[in-house]
Order: sequence, then structure tokens, then C-alpha cells
Amino acid sequence: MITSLEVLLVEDNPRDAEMTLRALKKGGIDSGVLWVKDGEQALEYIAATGAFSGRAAGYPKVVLLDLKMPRVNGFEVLARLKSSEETRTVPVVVLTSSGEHRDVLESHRLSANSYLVKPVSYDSFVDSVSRAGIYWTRSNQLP
Amino acid sequence: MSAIISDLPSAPKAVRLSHADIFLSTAPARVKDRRLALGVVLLSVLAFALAAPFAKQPMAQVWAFLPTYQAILVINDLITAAVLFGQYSVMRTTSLLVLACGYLFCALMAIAHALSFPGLFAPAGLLHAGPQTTAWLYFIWHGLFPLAVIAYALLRDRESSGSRGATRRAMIWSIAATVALAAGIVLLTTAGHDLLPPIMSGDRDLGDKVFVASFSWVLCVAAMPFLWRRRPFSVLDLWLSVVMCVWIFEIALAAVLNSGRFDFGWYAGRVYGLAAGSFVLFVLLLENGVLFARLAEAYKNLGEANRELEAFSYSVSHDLRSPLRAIDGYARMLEEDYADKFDEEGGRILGVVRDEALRMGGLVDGLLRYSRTGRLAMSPAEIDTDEIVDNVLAVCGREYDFGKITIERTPLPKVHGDPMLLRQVWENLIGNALKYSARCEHPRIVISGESKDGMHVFRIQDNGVGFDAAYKDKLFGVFQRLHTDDEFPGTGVGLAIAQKVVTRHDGRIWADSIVNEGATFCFSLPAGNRRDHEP
Repeated sequence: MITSLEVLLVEDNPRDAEMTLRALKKGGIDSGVLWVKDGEQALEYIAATGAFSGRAAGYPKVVLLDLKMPRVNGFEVLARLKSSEETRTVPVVVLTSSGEHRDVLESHRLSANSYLVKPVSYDSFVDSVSRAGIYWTRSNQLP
Repeated sequence: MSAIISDLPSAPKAVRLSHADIFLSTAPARVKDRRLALGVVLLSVLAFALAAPFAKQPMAQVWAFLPTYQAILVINDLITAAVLFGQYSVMRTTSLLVLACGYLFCALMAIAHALSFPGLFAPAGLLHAGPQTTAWLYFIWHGLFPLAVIAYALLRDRESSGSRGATRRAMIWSIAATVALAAGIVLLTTAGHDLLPPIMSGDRDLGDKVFVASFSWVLCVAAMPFLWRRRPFSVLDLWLSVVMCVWIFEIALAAVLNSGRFDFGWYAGRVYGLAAGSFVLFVLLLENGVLFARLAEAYKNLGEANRELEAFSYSVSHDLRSPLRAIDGYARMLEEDYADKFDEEGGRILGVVRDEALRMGGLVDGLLRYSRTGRLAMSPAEIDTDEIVDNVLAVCGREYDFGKITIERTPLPKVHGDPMLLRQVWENLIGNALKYSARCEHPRIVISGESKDGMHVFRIQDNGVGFDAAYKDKLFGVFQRLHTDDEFPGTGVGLAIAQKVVTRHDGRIWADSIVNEGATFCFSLPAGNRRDHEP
């Protein structure tokens, strides 16, 4: 059982997940990272239900959230997190392939803390993900 | 093959909507239309043949007839003029403008005719009319309208150049000229009454009237061959011929075969006149109804097509980019983790895999940018063009050494448009000028602008490698490139985007070049406020 979670990665695509984990590792974040494969699991983790019932208390320092996922998508996870008094301060960084204006707009409307478009270039990808990881887990002060 | 096709999602039903089909003035007359018109003419001939022998038969003086008839005529002609002015504002053909003015003129003449009619509003008519005023107004009216029809036929579909503002100005001036002409004619027939030869004696016709009537008559007859010469012969041409034909009967009954006011010919002629006034209006309104239905359908299909395009772009942005990222990412991981297992050739091959994945990523992004340029709603504002160019040059300065590049600029006119979109045009054109001239010894870029004929024209000139002018029409197509990636890298989307932005602003973009001497790109934007185009 992970006790103090640094990053909750919500990503349905295993390739993107592997690259994200690698990028975080390059940024020095190699422990305290949990990868869940869709929005449903993410919500279960947050609510400590289902597979995560009985997990250690507390919330991750940052949620890296994909938008397009089966069953429960990123917007729904974001809306749930930000509508609850308890979880609304958990930083959520949207990490998606979509640079569509309406997705950016909707994410910010739902109070996402940051919006990153996954670049096609792996080097740029590693650069932006590791930087975001470092910023939100090391520099950012939580309440 | 058929199986594959049937698997494709059904495309929205295509709706043919070209200018030529939409408007009465350009829609070719079909056999059905011709038959109907011929039927109307034959019916008129029959009615004329029946009425002609009784033309001189005196009838009761029904005073309500004239104002009623004239009021209907005025309204008909005014509505016809309004619809034609409306069509002109879209088609911008001078011929339609002339015809619209012709109908406006008819309406004004009909008003003056009724006001000056002796005994109707005042014993001797209003407007200080004399005994000859009404009759002369009638003939000048019936002589000048055929002239307008001839002018319409001769001008054909010559499209007047210029912006919307120019079209509006042309319309206002033409209306003013028509009103002035009508006022002049009223003045001539009232104040200048005694200069005109007498053609009436009280309510009875004088002998000379036949000559004047014949003159109007000849003009009506003359208008027809001009109309028939028009190709393609449109629905409007067809019904204008019918109008001219019916006017011939009207003048014959009401001014030649009869003997004066309030006889059978006089009444019958006016009924003809009313019929003639209604034909074009009726057909115009009918066509407008049909057009509206077709537009509504096209609009609905356009909405469907846009939604499909939206979904398509969304899935492109999402689904195509992620495998590309995986290809580049995993190739890079291979490089990172197994570097010692690859010899030089292995490394090169892996490099090619990554380069190509990135190139395709660039193409996908370019295509998305292009489609987004067309879809995004515009938020127009007053734009300081010089400021945009300053910014674009500042950004380009990071990539190019401005020490060895000469940039000449003249002050540029301010424009009204979407700042984000227009900035992209400048980025693309200045970026290209820098890219294609950077390798020459003394790169020189000239950025200038001027305002003329209601348009702002901007020019970006370089002394770079240029392109073969034979291909200048291909330049603005998506993914069209005139240089290979090895010579000058690029996706071939920049100019396509620039063109889309300029077109959405009702402007035009064009280019010219001589190989190895440089290229000149120009674009024009309308001066002043404009209506925004929907994507």
C-alpha cells in the first residue's frame, strides 16, 4: 500500500502511461506514483472505495488527468474532484492529446489547475511532464 | 469496392446551390417556364383580340378605379424594385441595378401620374398639373422603362467590382439618380407643361397622341430582341419579355385604339398594365419562397457537415497524435536503453523512424490548425497593423539574425478584423519571406501597405529564392509545396491558412515571383467595418 502519494496518473493508454512514468522518473519522481487506467478507478481511489477501500488517508499532491477515457472521462473526474469541499484543493493537471479550444475552455471552467497538451515529440513530452511533476510535487505549497 | 463504400458513414446530402441556380436573374428558363410564359402571352393576345373592337366604347366614369389600380401598381413596382435591389446586393451585377431602378422609376411615375390626374385629387390634378401633364407622364414612363430593360439586357452580367461598401454606394447613388430623373420629368410635364405639344383635349385624345404612343410602343418592341439575345436566357429575361409584350397590348388599348379616358380600351389597357406589373413580382416572390426552402435545407445540411467535421477534427487531434507520440517515444526509449546495441547504421535508421513520426505529427497539427482557422468564430476589432508586424518581427528575431537582413517598412493602415487570425497571416508571410531569403547574401524584405478603392492592400516582398510563377495558383492549397523538405522544411499549411483568414475577412491574397530573384505576396482587406462571415 502506498502511504503518501505524490502523483495519481489517470491514463487509459498504456503507451502514454509508460512514457509519462518514465518522464516523471527523469524528473526524479520515481516513487509515490500510482497509475490508474480510467476515470472510474480514479474516482474509486479518491473516494477510497472498491479496490482502494482501506487505503491510507490523504490525497495525492497532483492528479495528472487524461480527458478521453472509456466509461468515466476526465471531465467527469475533474467535475467530481472540484465539486467536493474536501477534494477541491487537490491540484489537477489535465494531460491530453487534445489542443481543441473547447476542451481547454471546459477544463478551465471546471477549475483545472493546469492544462498540458501532450506533444508528439517525445523529448518535448518528457520535458513538459517532468517539469510539471517537479513543480506540483516539489515547489507547490498545498494548504 | 461497393462493400467498402457502403461501410463509409453517409455524407450529408449534397445540395447544389450555385449563384446561377439560386437567382431568378440567372436561373436558366426551363421548358416548363417557357410554356407557361407562352401560355400567358397567347391568353393576352386572345383577350386583346376580343377587347380591341370595343376599345372606343364609352364606359361609366368609375373614380375609385384609378386610385385603386394605381396604388396596387405602385406597391407592386416598389416591392419588385426592393427584391431586385436585394438580388443586386448579392450578385453585384450592374444589369440588375439598372432593372431595379427601372421598377423604382415606374413606381414613382405611377405616383406622379395618379396625383396629376385631372379630377382625382383636385379638379385639375395636383402638382400644378396642366391638362397634358398626366398623358405625357404616362408616355415618358412607358417609354423609359423599356429603355431600362434594354440597358439591363445589354449590360448582361457584368459584375461591378469593389467591396460591399462600393455596392451600397452604387445603390444609393442609383436610387438618388432615379428619384432625380423622376422629379425632372414631373417638373418638365408641370412647370414645362407649355413646352410639350398637346396630345389631349379634356378627356379626349388628340390625333398627335398616336405618334407619341407609337414611340413608347417601338421601344417595347425593340426591348424584346435584346432580351432574347441574352444567354443563358434566364427566368427573369423570359418574364421581362412577357411584360414588354403585355405593355404593347396595354399601350395599344389604352392609348392608340381607344378614343380617350374612361372608354373600354382605357380600362382594359390598365388591367393589362396591372397584370404586367404583377408577373415579375409574382415570379420573384415564388422563386424567393423556393430559394428560402432550399437555403433552409442547405443550412441544415451544412450544420450536419460541420458537426461531422468537428467530430473528425477532434478524433484526428486525439487519436492520430497519440500513436505518433508512441512511435517517437518508443524509438527514443530504444535509443536511451539500448544505445550500446546499435551501430551507426542502426542509429541512423532509428533516427529516420523518429523524424518521420515527428514530420507526420507536424502535418496532423498543420491540418488541425487549418481546419480550426475556418471554424473558429471571429472576434473583430480595430487592429494596429504596425503593432502586429512589430510583434511578429520580434518573435522571428529569435530565429533569424537580423544583423544581416535588411527590413524596410512603410507605415501600414489600421484594419478592422480578428487580431488573432490576421496575426497568423503576417506570421506566415513574414516567416516565409525570411525562410526563403535567409540563404541569399544580402536578404532584403520590404513590407508596405496602401489604401485604395475601399481596400487596404499589403505587400511583403523578398529577394529570396522565389518560385516558378507558373505554379502560383497551387501555392495556397493545403499541403501544396513548391520546395522539397530538404531544400526548405515546411508543412505546406501556412499559406492555406493565410488564404482562409484573408477570405474570411472578405479580402484576397495573391503572389508573384521570379525564380532566384524573390517573391512578392500581397493581400487586401476591406477598409471600414464589415459584416462577419460565419465559418
